[in-house]
Amino acid sequence: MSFLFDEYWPWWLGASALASISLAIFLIERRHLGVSGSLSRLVTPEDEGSRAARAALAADGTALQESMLKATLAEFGDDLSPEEISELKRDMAAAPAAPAPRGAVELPRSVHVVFLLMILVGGAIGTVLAGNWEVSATLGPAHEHFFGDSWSSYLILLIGGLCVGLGTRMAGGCTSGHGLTGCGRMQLSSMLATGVFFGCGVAVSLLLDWGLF
Amino acid sequence: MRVPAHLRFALYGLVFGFCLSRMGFADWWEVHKMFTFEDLRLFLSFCGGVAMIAVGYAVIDRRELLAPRKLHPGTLAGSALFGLGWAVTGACPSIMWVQLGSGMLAAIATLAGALFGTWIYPKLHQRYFGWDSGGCDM
Repeated sequence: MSFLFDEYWPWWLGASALASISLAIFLIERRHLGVSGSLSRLVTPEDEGSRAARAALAADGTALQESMLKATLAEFGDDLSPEEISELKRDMAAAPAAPAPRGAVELPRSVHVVFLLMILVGGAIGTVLAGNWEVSATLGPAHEHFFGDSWSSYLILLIGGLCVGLGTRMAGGCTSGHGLTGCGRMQLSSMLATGVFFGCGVAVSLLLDWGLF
Repeated sequence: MRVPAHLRFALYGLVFGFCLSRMGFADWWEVHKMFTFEDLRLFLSFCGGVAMIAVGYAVIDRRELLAPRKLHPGTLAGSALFGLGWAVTGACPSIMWVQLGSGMLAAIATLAGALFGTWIYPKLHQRYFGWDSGGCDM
């Protein structure tokens, strides 16, 4: 087991891990892994009433059928004879009420909060088990080399974070949603997005190396 | 047996955070070397991951994959902003949590900026852009 913790994983192990997690989430949840979506849900207040009602409706096929019947009658009820209405009701009762599939119902915000916090805990466990967990004020010596360790380096991180938050929300995805699961599904928009954010990262990093920032 | 969604997503988050941490994705220097192609390890991890996911998805019935991603101007403009931010902070939206979990307090600044950015975007978007950027919701 020590090879898991002695040094950073070889590429094939990391690649397998990313793929296993993404595919497991799809197979179990029928959702595509996407962390920036969780991030935006974290800061978006929930419309509790309508969301809860929608979730309950979708989870219970019978309730869904009844509300659809009600809506149908409200729309067309005037044109139907009592016999036709009772026939409609009989047909609906005979059809099996299937629960909505997983992935069709919006997750409550608290699930996203738990997901994000557990990424933090997972990161902590990874470094603790590797024996190099320590509290540090900066992102490490290399970052200090480029950006220093004064207040301005934190301002740069704040602005950089702003670019990440604004950019991923604007682009509708990040490394996971566009990069992994979007490209994995051969979505043109995701492949373009991934090319642009990776290319931009390359350009900025090279400029940093050449001392142009 | 039906495991509650909170527990399932707690497990996904835990495993995801652990793997990202052990891959070295939360290490700013490793990410920098990935972007400058000094070290291809993380680059290959990412590309290999995409390739394996593509194979996995190709085996799964295409009708189940649903929800095509829309292409709009924000996809490119937003990605450019994101690339800039990622190179500077070494963090994408999951990595900032891993960095904080690893004890790097500086990630609090990144996280604050990112949360503010993702919060303010819909307000700017309604007012100035009007692009449909939805689609990354799990």
